[in-house]
Amino acid sequence: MTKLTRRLAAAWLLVALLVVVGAGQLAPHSYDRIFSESPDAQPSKDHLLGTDAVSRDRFSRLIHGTRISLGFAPLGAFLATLVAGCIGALSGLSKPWVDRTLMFSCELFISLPWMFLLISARSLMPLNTTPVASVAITFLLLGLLGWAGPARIVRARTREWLNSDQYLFARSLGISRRRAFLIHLPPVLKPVLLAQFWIAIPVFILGEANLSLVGLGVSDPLPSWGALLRDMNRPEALLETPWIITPLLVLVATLIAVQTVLRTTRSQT
Amino acid sequence: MNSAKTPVLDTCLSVSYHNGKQVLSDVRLSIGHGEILGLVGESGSGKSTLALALFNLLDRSRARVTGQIQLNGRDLLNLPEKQMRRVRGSEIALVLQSAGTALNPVLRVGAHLKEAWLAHSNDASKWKQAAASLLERVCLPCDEEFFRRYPSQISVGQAQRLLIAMALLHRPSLLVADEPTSALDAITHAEILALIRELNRDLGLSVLLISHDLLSAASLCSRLAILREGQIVESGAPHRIFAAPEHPYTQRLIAALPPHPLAATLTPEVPIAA
Repeated sequence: MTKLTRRLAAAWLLVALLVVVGAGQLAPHSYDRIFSESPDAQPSKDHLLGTDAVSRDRFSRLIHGTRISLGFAPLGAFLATLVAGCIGALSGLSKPWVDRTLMFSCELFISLPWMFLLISARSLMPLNTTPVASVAITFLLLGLLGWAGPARIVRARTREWLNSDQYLFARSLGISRRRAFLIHLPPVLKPVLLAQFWIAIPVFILGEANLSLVGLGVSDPLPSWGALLRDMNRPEALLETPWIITPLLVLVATLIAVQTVLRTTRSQT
Repeated sequence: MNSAKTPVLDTCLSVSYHNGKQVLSDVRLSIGHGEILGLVGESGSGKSTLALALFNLLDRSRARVTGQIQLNGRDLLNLPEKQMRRVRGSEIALVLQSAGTALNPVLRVGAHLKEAWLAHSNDASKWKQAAASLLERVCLPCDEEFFRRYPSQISVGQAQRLLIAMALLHRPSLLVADEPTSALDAITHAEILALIRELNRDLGLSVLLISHDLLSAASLCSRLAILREGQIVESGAPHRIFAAPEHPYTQRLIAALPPHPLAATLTPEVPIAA
């Protein structure tokens, strides 16, 4: 991987971060403002990416959608990592039957078809859910369903630590089991949890996009990358208005940038 | 209870795993006040199992420990975990083979010493005061710059000294040193052995030195016990064991010692009798 690629990826993520922080200032219009005189307008000086079928500025919606998709994915990833950390560590430290039960539930979660589960869970929510609540529910679901894989890794690291000289030496000094778990174990798990957190972010971005694409994610009028991709559901629309592919390009570019940065960080550690 | 005649450690210990494997059979050890006992044996002879058994740190779901472990006249084997925790670190302490694996790489030197201090004290403010004299004794710096370092930022010798300082922070009467020099280079090896000798002499510390290195153990210990397949096959003063080893295994151990590199040039060539 060239230095230029890494720099481009980092720069792209920096711009994305700026968009997340300053979407309100960067977007020329509000995401739900309707320009009734120009539905399905072509790109122009006023509307850089034209307008959608209900006359909203596509560029402004892309900016606000980026804020929601990129801003909430880390929150979902944080939640998943937190749950994974608690369950994984508990499993690693517990008696064999608790460990077996927790790991069985982990395997059950991993073997379940994620997308189907998300769609089922999301479709159980009332139809009149407010847009803001829909964002919270979507990422909460992603967070709650994404813990199983990381939990197994946390559990393995916890077991490894329990059998290590570090734990043995701490116990030989008279340090209690509880203090060792509370003070000595968390710093040992920190690198594992951080790695799981960063890996979960792109997964959750895609998860949200998939859910919103089938209309079960962030609900209208709030935009998200998945919701914006719904405009591409007619192949002929792509030929007539090719600029509507922009959200997909932004999504793919961001995922590649995240993977590039993660790979660079991993190879350096 | 703690009279000079009562040995610091007196054991008669058997350990078997639940799969039926007998790891230690009736291991009798007795260490007096201020004595250094060397337990020598090959890998897999049960040396480390013995060390863990002394601290009640063997996994009881997998291992069965029977017999007795008398520390200063008190039986440790049947002590409830809460009381045993108070004994560990304050009456009996352990130093492991590799400081690199025994120290938590994400905790700073200062945090390690503080944790060791807090194991038996509620006064967090006094850990530096308590550690100062001991750090000086083990030839480690006692300043903020050193306390801020991570284990990876100190030398192997310093890390081993830090282990010893942590182990002795609460002035235990017995130090169990499980292969404390195996992972060290020759010079650091000699320095650590000299340090253990000094601590034994100056603090009156009793030491159980567990090692596979017969020569090192003999140079440091007043008595040696040879462990083979979980049994003590021979014990006695080092000079007696070297002069007249009784058990065939001890004879093999001594025969296996490398010759001095200058031996060939120093001794006249003698034709080998047919």
